[in-house]
Amino acid sequence: MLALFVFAALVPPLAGLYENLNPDASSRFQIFLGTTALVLALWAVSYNLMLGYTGMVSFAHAAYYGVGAYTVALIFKRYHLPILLGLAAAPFVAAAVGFVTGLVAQRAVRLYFSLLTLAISQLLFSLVYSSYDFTGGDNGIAITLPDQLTDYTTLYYFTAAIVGICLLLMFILVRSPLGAALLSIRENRQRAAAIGINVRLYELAVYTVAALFAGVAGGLFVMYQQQAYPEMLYWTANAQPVVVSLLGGTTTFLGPAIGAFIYVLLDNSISKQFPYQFDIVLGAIVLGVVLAVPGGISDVPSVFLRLRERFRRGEQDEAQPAESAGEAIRMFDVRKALASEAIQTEEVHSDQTLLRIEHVSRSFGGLRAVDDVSLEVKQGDRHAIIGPNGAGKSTLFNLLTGQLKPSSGKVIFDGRDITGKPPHVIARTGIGRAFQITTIFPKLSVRQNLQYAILAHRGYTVRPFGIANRMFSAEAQDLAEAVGLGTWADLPAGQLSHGDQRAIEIAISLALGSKLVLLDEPTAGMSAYETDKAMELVRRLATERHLTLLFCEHDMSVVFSTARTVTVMHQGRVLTAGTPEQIRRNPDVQKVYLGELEQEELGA
Amino acid sequence: MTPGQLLLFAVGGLSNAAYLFIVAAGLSLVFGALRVINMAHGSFYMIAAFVTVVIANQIGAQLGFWGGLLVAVAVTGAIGGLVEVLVLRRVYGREHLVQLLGTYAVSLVVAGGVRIVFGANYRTVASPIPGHVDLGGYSYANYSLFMIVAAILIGAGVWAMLYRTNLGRNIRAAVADPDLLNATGVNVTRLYTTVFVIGAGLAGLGGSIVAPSQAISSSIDTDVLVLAFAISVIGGLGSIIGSAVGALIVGMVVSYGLVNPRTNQFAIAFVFIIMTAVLIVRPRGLFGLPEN
Amino acid sequence: MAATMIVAACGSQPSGNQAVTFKGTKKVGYSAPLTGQSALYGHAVSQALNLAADDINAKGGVNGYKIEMDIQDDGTTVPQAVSNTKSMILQDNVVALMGSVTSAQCLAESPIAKQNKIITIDATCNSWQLTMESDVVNPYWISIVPNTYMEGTAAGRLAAGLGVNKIFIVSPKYLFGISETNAFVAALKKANSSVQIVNNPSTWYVPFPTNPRWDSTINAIQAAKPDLVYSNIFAADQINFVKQALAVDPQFFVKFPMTTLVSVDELNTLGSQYPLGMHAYMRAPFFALQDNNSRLADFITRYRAKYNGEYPSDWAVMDYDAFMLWAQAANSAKSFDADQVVKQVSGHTFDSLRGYKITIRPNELQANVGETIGTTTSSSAYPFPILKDSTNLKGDDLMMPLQMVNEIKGDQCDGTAGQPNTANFALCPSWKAS
Repeated sequence: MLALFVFAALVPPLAGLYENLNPDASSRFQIFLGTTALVLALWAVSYNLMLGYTGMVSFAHAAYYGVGAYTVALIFKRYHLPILLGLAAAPFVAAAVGFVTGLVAQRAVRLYFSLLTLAISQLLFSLVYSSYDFTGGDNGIAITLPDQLTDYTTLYYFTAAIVGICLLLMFILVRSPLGAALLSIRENRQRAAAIGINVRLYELAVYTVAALFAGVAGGLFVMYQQQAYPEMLYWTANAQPVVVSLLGGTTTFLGPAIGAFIYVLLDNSISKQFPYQFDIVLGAIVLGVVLAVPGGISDVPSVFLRLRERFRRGEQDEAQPAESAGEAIRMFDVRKALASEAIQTEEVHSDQTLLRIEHVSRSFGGLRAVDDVSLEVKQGDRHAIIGPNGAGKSTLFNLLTGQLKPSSGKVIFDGRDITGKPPHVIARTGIGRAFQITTIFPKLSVRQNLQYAILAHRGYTVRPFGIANRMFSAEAQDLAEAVGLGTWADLPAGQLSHGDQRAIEIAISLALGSKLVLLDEPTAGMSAYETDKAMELVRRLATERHLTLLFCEHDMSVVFSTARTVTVMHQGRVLTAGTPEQIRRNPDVQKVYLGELEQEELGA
Repeated sequence: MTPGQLLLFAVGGLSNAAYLFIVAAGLSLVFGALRVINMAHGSFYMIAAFVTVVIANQIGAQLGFWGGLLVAVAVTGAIGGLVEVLVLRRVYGREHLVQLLGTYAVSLVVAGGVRIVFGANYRTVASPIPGHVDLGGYSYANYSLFMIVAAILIGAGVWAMLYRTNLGRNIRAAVADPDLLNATGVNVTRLYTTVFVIGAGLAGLGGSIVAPSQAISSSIDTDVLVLAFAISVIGGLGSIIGSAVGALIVGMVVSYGLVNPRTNQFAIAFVFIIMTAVLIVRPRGLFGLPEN
Repeated sequence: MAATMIVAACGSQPSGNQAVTFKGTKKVGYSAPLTGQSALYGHAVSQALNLAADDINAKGGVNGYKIEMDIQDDGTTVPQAVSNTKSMILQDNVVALMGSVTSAQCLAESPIAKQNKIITIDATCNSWQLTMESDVVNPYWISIVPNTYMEGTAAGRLAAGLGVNKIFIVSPKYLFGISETNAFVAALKKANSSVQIVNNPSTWYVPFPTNPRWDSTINAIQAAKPDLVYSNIFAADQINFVKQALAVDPQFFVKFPMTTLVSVDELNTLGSQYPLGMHAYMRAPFFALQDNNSRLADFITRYRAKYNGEYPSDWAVMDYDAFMLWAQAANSAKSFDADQVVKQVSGHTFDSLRGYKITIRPNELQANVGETIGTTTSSSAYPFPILKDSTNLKGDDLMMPLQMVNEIKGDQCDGTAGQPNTANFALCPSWKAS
């Protein structure tokens, strides 16, 4: 970041030097280009808040840029107020428009969100274009700068200062716990919700913040270009920040800023001489990036890094292993887990019964996946739900943690009705969940996975300041060691072997499960030894740290060694419940499982 | 408005809807079956328009136009196939931004290429079906009527392909449930290429058909694309009937909206208001299938 | 994206044989619509400017310097024109600019040229606001094209004289269209207050640039059945509109006669397809200005020789004049400094290709250039229609009265107080009084 400021300060003197060396050149133009690049950098970095950090693809961002521009132009030209007042107002007007349209855009997700932003962009464009009397319509608005700002060097430093401040603010934001929440959303929306992040709220927040900074950029544009025009809001104008971010790299904060400078240089040198070829060159670059990068755009820098590493190291392996060895579960450390501060348990206020499921049902079309299920989990209990495949266990879990809404029935947790509440709300009540399909943040490190879970769970993610990666670092490290991942704490979680990823999954559920931990087939795919180690840890935590456990399992040895209460489900209904011994001897249960066994043998 | 005027603007709206439907149908089909947003769809439209105009002007009005149309659609389909094989195959299943960018890059390359090959100026071609029909005191260009008829025939053709052929059945299966498709033993790779070629061809057909009625330039790709998006969204991505209804809505809104003094400023904006409303209330569109 | 147009068809071979030694090279900039809506015009202007540059250099250049044209494509868009202008001024160090085509572009370029003190000779965009509206006025902006007041009022008086009752208006929705249409309507109503405009003011204007589909307008005209259509749409818009109207009915413009701004470019593009009987007003049609005009004849010959037999359109004629005017003034000033050159322009008289000398009125730096009116008719001499019964209206008869100019510059004609961009000459005291 500091390097950028130093660089920015040097441009005008460098330009002057260039002019001295090259008499035909004009330093004014180089400085002007520098100003252009700075504003483009600000715009692109603000776009990347959504794109790189939160994983949102918006076509409306240029519209907020345009709104900022028009705000400055109108305030100055139409209302004859000082231009700096206009510049001060621009971010707020843009943010207001961004907020309102963001509320609308939010009603859709992913692809439809993008299409919705396209519609919004075109709407705003049409409004500006059609309001000839107010905005000058197709003419746009041309302004004459006040005398103090006509000097190109002054303008440059002014722009650099404002861009610098804005970048700094955004930088603080992305490193903060709030920024951590955004990354979580990008990485895995489901897991983000399950650690307590209200995804829609955060998306709206980042959308509005991005619009705010786009408004500043638009305002600065009017200052140096002396013109606002409706094309700034057209949906295709979004191509610029996207391409610029891509050029510079979307995974680093300053990537888009670097891309902006590259783009301005390219544009100025190539497109003057070869305007039609410039489009082709640009298209080829984008294509190259898109096709050559298997993991997606955010992989671009790491692709370069990997290539560079390969060049440097040759065949030699270095000390840091590139992949984990899959040993984590075997190295579960119960003592560490017991001592971990990441795992917090709370005494529950209700009398004994922690979770009450009352006549819960859920249908999909004609299929009743969960049919009138009732059960109770007492505080401190280790409660297993078993049943053949398709019995409705996972569906039930999804109903409990909010991924699905029950068609009927109630779920009361710790005295509160949580029926049908969204996942992030339920997560905050103190339920931690390990999903059947590993749901972690693949590009974040192991430590970050755990840190962010803790941050979100304890409500820190509303803070737009502070450095997220330094918070709860020790706790996360301890927890990582407790689940055998201490050595690989810095490795991106997605690079771990499957078994090790399960370890993270379990660790996250423990960190979140201050009152109740839900484990969805925790030992699936584990060897006997690993199963023992994993369940030993869980059991001891339950016993000594009063952790309440609800898990579903196929492995009967786990059930019998860990559970104190067992509920059997079959075809969506509760068949029976009781102690493990009772269940083992129950003839109906045997029949259900035998029946399944028979079906398997008959190959049905 | 008198009945004669109502008819006048209705036919105007229909002829607008005609070419928009053809283009949007291609976009919608590609999205429905391949789940890919093709930002290069307008590029195919534009290439076909240019090819048609150039050939028609070389050879001479009538024969030149129809010959040009055939060549244009073939060329566009071929380019579509190339794009699918070289670019799209590498981005299926990845985040939709990657797909967007890939096809956007293609559109950039095409736009630059068109300007280099065809030059930057406007081109026009004479109408291959001159003449007009008088009805109720007003005149209707024969070509506008032709566009409407052509759209209906093409729509029927696409519908027949979808509902009466094996290919169509596979396409509908892909639209309904892409995962299941793999299990049925269909050569998915070839199916995807075929669908994309058809989509590109439809875009090209739209471009060729519209060529005699407006000046062709290298910026027509983006304007038609955004309207095609709007129509596909309103009608439902993946549905031909949806594209037809969506095109009708858009064509009529524009035709009547532009002439009424109270709505004239905002006629185009209204299209996007509808698009927004649909995306909020019923994202799958009027006739689209629910997302799995 | 900016482009330096390499006019491949023409080289820059000097037309004279003298071996001239120049002190160096200076550039004159032109942001040209080489692509986009007005590509027709950009092509013509670029050719004329290059020819003019050759002529100027053959006579020793300007102030001893060889003059080179710096032409960049702006796609007929405002953003690109602004970008080109900046780069021409800052990077290419142009000593003068030729005004762009659309008034919106000129409106955007003017502050930049003013701030950097670069003189602009404007031969195409013609909204009077550019030289009179108080927050737009630029002391280095010279207009040698009949402005929208001159054109619009001429057209308005003409239309009133045709004895029509119902008029339909179609105009592009940006500064030029609105300025000229307002002038037309004001003059029309003044000359004949009983004339009716049949379409609602909010439907007079169509989005600009190129709206490719004109069905709505064509249908609206059919529905309204006017006696006359007034239009100032031009270039690609006019081409499209005419083509589509003729497709609906080959007799469209017989049923609904039209008064329209035209240039040789539109006539040439549609050729024999261009409707006959159109009441045209043109800015510098060579075929109507040829009487006793050896300068023009010579220019036409040389232009055609250099450019594959093409006829110079109005824009070519006017921009040639513009360039020559600047060269002459700069030579008189013995300097490229804008203030000095303007001093040699303001109040001075110059030769032109149009068959008369033009004088730049100091108050608003507007030349007393005329306008040609007539009716389109087929021609055996040219591959496009020309005008019959044409009259070359005199600039002096068309120019805005001085009193009115001063009232506008003094913000006395603003629609909303304090908003100069709402200025309308019809609100001026002197207009109301006359």
